[in-house]
Amino acid sequence: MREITKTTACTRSEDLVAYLYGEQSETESHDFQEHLRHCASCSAEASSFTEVRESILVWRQQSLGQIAYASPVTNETPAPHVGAQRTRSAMAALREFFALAPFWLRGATAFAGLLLCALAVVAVLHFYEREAAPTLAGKEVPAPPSAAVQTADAKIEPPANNVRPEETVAVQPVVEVPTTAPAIKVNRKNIVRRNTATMKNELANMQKKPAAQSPVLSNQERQQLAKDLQLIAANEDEEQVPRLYDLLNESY
Amino acid sequence: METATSDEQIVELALSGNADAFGEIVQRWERRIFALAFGMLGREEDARDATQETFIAAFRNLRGFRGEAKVSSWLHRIAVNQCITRQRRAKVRGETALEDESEADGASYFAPAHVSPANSVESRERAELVRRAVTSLPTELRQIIVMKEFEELTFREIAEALDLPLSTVKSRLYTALRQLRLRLAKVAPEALSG
Repeated sequence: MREITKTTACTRSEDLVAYLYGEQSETESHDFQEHLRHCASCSAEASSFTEVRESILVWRQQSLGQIAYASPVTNETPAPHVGAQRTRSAMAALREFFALAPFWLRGATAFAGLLLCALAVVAVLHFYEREAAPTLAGKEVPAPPSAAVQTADAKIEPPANNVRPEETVAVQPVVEVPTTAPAIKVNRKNIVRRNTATMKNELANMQKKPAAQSPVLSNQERQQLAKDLQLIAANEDEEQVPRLYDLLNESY
Repeated sequence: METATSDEQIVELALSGNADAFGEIVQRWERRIFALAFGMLGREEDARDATQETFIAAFRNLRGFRGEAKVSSWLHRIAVNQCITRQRRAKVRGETALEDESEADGASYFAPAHVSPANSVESRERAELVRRAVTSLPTELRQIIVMKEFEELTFREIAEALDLPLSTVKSRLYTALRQLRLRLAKVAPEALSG
C-alpha cells in the first residue's frame, strides 16, 4: 500500500477523486479539467477509476437491485422506484420479522406452516375419495359369486314348495350328468368355461323367472319325471316294451 | 438540513418516551445502513444481522446521542463498528474473504461503459469479482468505498460519520480506488486499459 502511494505521479489525488465524484465547485472543476489535459497520470487514473466505479455499480445493482434510497438532503424517495420499494419493503419487513423474532416464534410459525400443508393434503385426498365413491355407487353391483353358487344350488335343490324331497335328490343326476363329460379329458379349460357358461345361463333363466313364482311342473313333466324315477307303474311301460322272450317266440 | 432537523426531533421524541419515534428513524435509514453493511460484509445475511444490531445498539445508546453530529452520521458510525466487529469475529472463526481466489474467466471484466450488461451471467460474474475485490480491501479503505459508492454519501458526511478529516477521507478513497484497480486487473490482466 505504501508503495502504491509513493508511485503516485501527481499530487492532486484528492482533487481527482473530488472531480470524479462531482464534489467540486464549478471553478475547481474547470481548473482540474485543464489539469487533466496536461497530466497523463491523472488522465489515465481518471479513466481507470471510472471503469472501477462502473464495475462497483454493477455489483451494487446486482446485489441491491433498484432500491431507491432516501436522499440525505430531502429524505424523499424517487417516484419511479416507489413500486419496487413497496414490494421490497414488504419482503424486507417479513425478513426482518423472522430475523428479529425469537427462536420459539420462528419454530411456532414453521410448525403452523407444516400443519397447514398437512391439512391441505388431507383435504385434497378426502376430496378425491368423495369423487371416487359416487362413481362406484352408480354402477350396478354384480351379484357376488356366492349368490351365483347359491342360485346354482337352488337349481340343484329346487324350492321345497313344489318339489318332493325325492325329486330333489333325483334332480341332481340331471344336473350332475355332464353332457360334456368326455370333453373334460380333452380340454379342461373349455369345460370349465362351458360349465361356467351353462351355469350362467341357468342363473339367467332362473333370474328371469319371477321370484314369487315357484317352478310348477306340468303334467307331462311330472310324468317324465316319474318315469325317470321309475315311480310310474311298471305295467304301463311293460305293456309298451316288448319282452325279449316274446320277441324270440315270435321269430320262431 | 430539514432532514437533519427532523431526524433529531424524532430522536428527541424517542428520548421523551415515544415508542414509535425510533421506528421512524429505522424506516428512514434501514436501507442505507443495510447497503453500507452489505458493502462492508459482502453477504446479505451478515448485512441484515449487522443492520439489526446497528439499530438495536442505537436504540440502547439513544441517551448517549448528544446531538453533536447528525443522526445519520451517528448511525453510520455504529453500523461501521458493527461491521468491523463481525469481520473480526469471522476472522477468528476462519471465515475470511477469498481474496486470493481468482476467476478463470475475467476477460470481459472491464466492459466498455456503453455496453450494458445484457448478459446476466456476465454481469453476475462481474459483480462477484467486484465483491471479492472490495471485501478484500483493508477495513479503513473498504468503509470509505462502500459509503461513497453504496450509500452515495458526500465526503463531508463520511468524514462526520467516521470522525475523520476531510482530506483523509479523500486520500483513502483514492487509495481504495487504486487498490481496486490493481486487484481487478490482476484477475483480468488483459482488460487493463491505459
